[in-house]
Amino acid sequence: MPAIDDALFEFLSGPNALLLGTRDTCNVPAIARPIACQVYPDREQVRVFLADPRAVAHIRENGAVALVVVRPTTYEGYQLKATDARIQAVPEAELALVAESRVRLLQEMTRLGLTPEFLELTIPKVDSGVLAAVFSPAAIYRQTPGPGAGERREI
Amino acid sequence: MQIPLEDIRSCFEGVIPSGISTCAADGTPNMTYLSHVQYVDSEHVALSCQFFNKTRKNLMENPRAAVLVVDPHAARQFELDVLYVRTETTGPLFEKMKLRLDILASLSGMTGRFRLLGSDIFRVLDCRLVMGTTAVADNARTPALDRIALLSTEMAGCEELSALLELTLAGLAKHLGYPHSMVLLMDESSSRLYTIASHGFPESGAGSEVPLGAGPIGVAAERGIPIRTTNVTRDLLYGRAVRQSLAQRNDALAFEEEIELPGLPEVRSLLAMPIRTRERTLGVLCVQSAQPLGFSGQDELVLRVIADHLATAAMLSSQLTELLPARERPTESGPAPVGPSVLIRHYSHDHSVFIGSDYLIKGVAGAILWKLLSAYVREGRTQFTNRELRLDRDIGLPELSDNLEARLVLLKRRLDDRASVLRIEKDGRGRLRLAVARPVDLQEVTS
Repeated sequence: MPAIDDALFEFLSGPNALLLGTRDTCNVPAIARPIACQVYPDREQVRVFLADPRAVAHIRENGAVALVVVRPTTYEGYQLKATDARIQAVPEAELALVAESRVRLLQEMTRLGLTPEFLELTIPKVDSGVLAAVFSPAAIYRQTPGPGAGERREI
Repeated sequence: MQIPLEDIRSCFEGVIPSGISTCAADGTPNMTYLSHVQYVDSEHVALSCQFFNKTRKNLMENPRAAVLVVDPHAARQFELDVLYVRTETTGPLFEKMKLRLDILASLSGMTGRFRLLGSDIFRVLDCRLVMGTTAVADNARTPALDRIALLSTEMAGCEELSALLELTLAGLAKHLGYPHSMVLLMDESSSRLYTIASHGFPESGAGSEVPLGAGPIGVAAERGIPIRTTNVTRDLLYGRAVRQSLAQRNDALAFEEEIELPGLPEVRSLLAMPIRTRERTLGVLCVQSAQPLGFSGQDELVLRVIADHLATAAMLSSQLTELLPARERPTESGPAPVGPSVLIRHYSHDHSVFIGSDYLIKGVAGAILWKLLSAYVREGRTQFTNRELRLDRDIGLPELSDNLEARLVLLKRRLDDRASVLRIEKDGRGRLRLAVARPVDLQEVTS
């Protein structure tokens, strides 16, 4: 039984806005804004692309992550939590795919009335500093606003 | 603190979603999007507690959190290291945050469905720039006192409400840079507002209504306070998401419709300023923009001055019209109506008037039109005085000095917008003329 079902797989393909929660060894939380995420074909692992040295350091320290994935034009959202995140390099050939995901997200967000010039500044650019955090979600929660927000989604 | 909160006030306007990261005692992080972070003072911010239960549970175990906010002008992003201090469930801050939620709910047709459990207060330990440059783009509108004075002088020169409204809205565009504006007045039952004048919209919208307490305009009128909405699109999307979540739980039985905002089809921000005089709300002056964060706190001040002046000038203009004697003019008959006759129906229960099968107007304005048409058919009269209309008991005009003129302005706009058969024209101070282009058949419907 794959961890991520068809509907969620489809949703996680984007375009989605992302926020990543990490914490240090003293449990002080921090936020990073990843560029994109991708579900592995086995649907048991997720890869999130980021260019945030502090988040990278936290993940290397303790592997705990909480990734929120939200469709900006509908507010549909999920939170993926894991304790086994690890940092990997991103092969240069894959950086182009990350950049493509970024462009799709920016296009989606223009539907909210924000200018492309403004939006361009809100998501980190894709360059050789981008790394990947790979993790297996231990729990997935709904985050669409409303009474069901925070409910665990069966996996 | 690296950056004072006062320097990033626009991050707290709610234009771009924020996020909060917390951490449970066992070290599991939790991340949540936030619709709004409220600035409290130079050392504190507040978050509305409605749905995010895990965040709250974590804060009880570990009061540290990180909040990410975005500057809507320059796209700079700041991370606030915060410490949960307390939750307020009463008081001015709670009421302010509750009001924001109420407006969002009513905009989405879910009045009363969003419940603010509390305002969670956080002390800000640090504020750091995490993305973007420190150079600040200053997009704030500079209050132009000389231009405000210019408009104020022009407004003071108006004798009649109709001219005052037109001049004010045109002046807002010409002198102060607000190209899209409208004035809505309270109706006789004080339960709704109706659009009496507008400027810069694809359609005049005269007569379009907003229930008192509904959406930003209705709430501004009901509470007598200015309401600034920075991103209508986002608010609606958020509301729809909640609505859908409720619907999936079969909890959507009593939903109202989303509020239809009169004005720009793609409105993204608006400022609704109550027009008040002597503790009474006469209506609302509303400016709109197709851009998010179209209006700032500075705009609130500018619009406050204009709305206060408009209130005083409107009261004076009505009183002037009533006090000064109507100028007698020789009776002039216009061209005789030609062409096939038109059926005009009047429904007495609500004074709605239909020309052919098209609805035209209702309420006091409908009663006024019926009075004019009846006198026209019965006696051939086309000239009338404001005074005789005011004294006519059949019209049922409330005892508000500004109401007759406001109704005449609305009636004239509606006829100009919708009917080519009838027109109302000014006929000197305190007088009006009914122009009838085609023969009319009147039908009173009483049931």
